[in-house]
Order: sequence, then structure tokens, then C-alpha cells
Amino acid sequence: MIKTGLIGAAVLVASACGSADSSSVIVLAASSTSDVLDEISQAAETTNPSLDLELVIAGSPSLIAQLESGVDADVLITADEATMDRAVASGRVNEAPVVIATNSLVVALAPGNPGDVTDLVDLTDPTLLIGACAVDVPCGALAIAAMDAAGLSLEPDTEELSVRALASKIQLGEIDAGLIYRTDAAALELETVNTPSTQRLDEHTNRYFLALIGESPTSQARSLVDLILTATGRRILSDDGFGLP
Amino acid sequence: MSKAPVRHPAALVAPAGLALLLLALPIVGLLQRAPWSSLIDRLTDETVLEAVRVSAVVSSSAAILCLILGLPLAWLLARVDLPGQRIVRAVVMLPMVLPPVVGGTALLFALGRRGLVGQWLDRWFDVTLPFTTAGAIIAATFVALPFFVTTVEGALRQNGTDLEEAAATAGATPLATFIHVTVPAARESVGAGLALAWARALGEFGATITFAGNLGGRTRTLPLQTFVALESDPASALAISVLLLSISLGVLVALRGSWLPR
Repeated sequence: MIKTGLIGAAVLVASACGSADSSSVIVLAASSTSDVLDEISQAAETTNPSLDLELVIAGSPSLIAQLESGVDADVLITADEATMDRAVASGRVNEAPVVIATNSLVVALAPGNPGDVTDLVDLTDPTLLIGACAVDVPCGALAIAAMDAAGLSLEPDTEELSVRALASKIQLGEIDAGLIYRTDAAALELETVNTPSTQRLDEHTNRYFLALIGESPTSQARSLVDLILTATGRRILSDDGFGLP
Repeated sequence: MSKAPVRHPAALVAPAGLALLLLALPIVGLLQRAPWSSLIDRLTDETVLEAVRVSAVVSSSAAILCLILGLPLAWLLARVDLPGQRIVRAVVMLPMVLPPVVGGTALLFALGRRGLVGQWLDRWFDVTLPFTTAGAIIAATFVALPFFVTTVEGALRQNGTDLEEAAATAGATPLATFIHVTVPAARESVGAGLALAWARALGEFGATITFAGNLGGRTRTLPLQTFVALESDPASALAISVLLLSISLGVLVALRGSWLPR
């Protein structure tokens, strides 16, 4: 009995250590790229059946922490320039990062628009439940910049720690309206406000950066990057609501 | 005849040592990275003090709610033969093993503005719980209540019913018996349960962020502030972690000293 237990534990440890196959391409990517990367990796694996992609999706700060701790990775995709700068500072990026997509904010509404939100200025209404991303999350920094530019001060009822958490609470109707990425609003099929003031949100964009990790990137990793940068990748990104550089 | 030396089988000592290491190592890791020289400055920072205030209000209110609601529930479980006792007890214990973020989501579906009960609170009384301090208190109470109830229920069972029966024979009403006999006899466990519940409420993160959101001065408790700071100011996050760690350790050591069996 004890023996089987020990063997079981040994197998568990061995399989945990051996999960990273050396021939697969490990992609570290920001949360907001999760859906689009699923589609891109399907396309990539169809074009090149020998390609085996492993996606590690996390918030930007967590991605950097993983990189700095020396995690095995081939490609990094961040949701803003500041995060990529930190990755470059970590010393693990050896080629100049490239911009693969852009994203902007929209005013997303709870189903049925219970707060009767019709304009950007409604986000400052203290009687409504308004959500934003926390300042340290890329979408939160973008929201503050965009509201500042509009001469409005955002005073949300909650500063959510990820854009998807915020989007879900809007979808559940617990928040009347919030500033989330265009792509997340599209993925969750949320209604958005479309007025001249909200259209000006498009002037504020986050740029998604891609970089190869390590001193000698594999040809597999390069083929993935090529796919993202050329027609197939661009079409998938654009279909999901991302802007193209 | 000399006393035979006690033999400690290596097959037990080695895994026990490993287990201890697994538990202690993260604490050491935290302590060796903590910004000791600037600890006080970081903990007296305005944003941190704001989180201290929110945490104090939320955890203390949750502990008081545990006392008011949990004491009768512990009594019910210990003294009344409930139909479906096992299921009731499982429901009471559930928050101890449920991932707090699941608890928070469940609270949202029950007490949120569109929730099972929450929609009526919103419609009839204009009460909205998510994203309020009251919501944070409810989330903290949800996760802390089982710690209080199980501690007190155990004591009530152990104390038995002899004193209560004597009081009843002497003419005390059931409520008077509960207040003057049952509770005083279990006061040490009530204290221990309160301390455990308070400490659990203080450390609550997942249910709070999910149900009550994150806003400075309203719902951003110390654990939330730690998480937020981890992304922008890791040294501040470490300082708060040291504070939370010392409080938790302090509570457990105090309990060990006075209430729990030595």
C-alpha cells in the first residue's frame, strides 16, 4: 500500500517535470489575447502540423514575473509597451519587439442598459454603478488617459484587477457600465455606447507587442511569428476586433 | 534496567520534516525579502492606512456577525436533532473548502443586483450589496462563519447537557439557560472561535474581490491592497504581507496559549 503510494507520488513528480516538451513552442501572452491566440494557434497548427503550441495566458505583471524567474518560453506577447519594456529590461529579449495589434476602449453596458447610459459623461454619474480596470492593469491606465483627455474624472465603484473580470460583471448586470476593450465587448457580445464622445476613445490605444525570447529562437517559434505578422494572423486579429498597426 | 531509547523511524521523521519545510519555507522566503528598514514608512503610507481601516471594519463586523448568527447555529447543530443533519453540517462547513472565488460568484448570484434574493433587495428596499463595504462584510462572514460555528459546536457537545438539565429542573427558561449556562460554560471556545473567524475574515481575498469589488476606502482590504501593490510596488506588498503574517501568527500563538489543548 505504502509502496504504491510512493510510486504514485514519483509518477506525479516525474510527469509534472516532464510536461514541457522541448519541441513545443511556449507562448507567454496577456489575458486579453486569450481568445485570438486560440484561433491563431489552431490556424498555425493546421498550416504546420509539426508545430505544437503551448499557450500560457496571464496578466501582464505576472508574465514579467515569470520571465524574470527564468521560465521556459519562446514567444512573449504583452498588452502594452510598458510591460514589454520591462521584459526587455529583464534581459531575455534579444531582438527588437514588434507591434502586432492595437486595442481601444468602449463604454460597455449591462444587458438592457438599466443605468440608461447614453454618453461618456454618464460614467461620472455617482448614482450609477460604474466599473473600471485597476490603474496598474493596462486597460485601467488607458481608461484614465482617455477620460483625462475628455476632461472627465472617472470615479468607479470598483477597480477590477483584470479586464475580463470587469466585463463579466457588466454582463451579469451587476455593473451599469464600464470601460473595457473593444475586443472583450465583442467577445461577450455586450452592447456599447456610440456617440461622438465615446468615438474619441479610439484615439487612445494600447499596442500589443510581440518578442522572441532567448538567444537562439527556434525555427518553429519563428514560423509562428511569421504567421501572426502576415495575412492569416492579421485577418484573425482584425476579425476579433483588434486594430492593426 | 536502563530505559530503552525511544526510536524515531526515519520513514516518519523524513516526510514530517519535509512537510514542515513546505509550510515554513514560504514564510522564510517572505521574511528574507521584506523591506525591514522601510517597513514602518510603507505601512503608514496613506493608501495602506486606508486599507487597514477598511480591513479593521470588515473583519471586526464579520466577527460580530459570526457571534450573533453563529452562536445560535452552533447551538442548533449541537443540541437539536435536525432532519438531514449531515447535509446541514456539510453546508455549514462548505466555505472552508470551497474556493473563495466560487463563494464570491455564488454570493453574486444570490445577493447581487440581479441575484436570486438581491433583485428584491434592490427593487423593494433600494439596497445594492455588491461593491459596498456591507458586501465585503458579507463576503468575509461567509468564509469565516464555519470556523466559529465548528469551534463552538465542538465545545457545546463536549460540555454535555448536565448543567442545562439542572438549570431547567430549577425552573430556568430555555433561553435563560442558553444565556446564563450554555454560553458561559463555552466561553473559552467562543473566544477561540471569534479569534479564528476574525483572522479568517482579515485574510479573505477571493470572495471579496468577486462579490464586493475593489475600491480604496470602501472595499479594498489589506489582502486586496497586497495584490494590487504586488503589480506596482512589490516592496509595499511585502510590507503588508509581513503585517498580515504577524497578525495571523499572533492569533494562532495566543490561541495555542490559552484556548486550544496544549
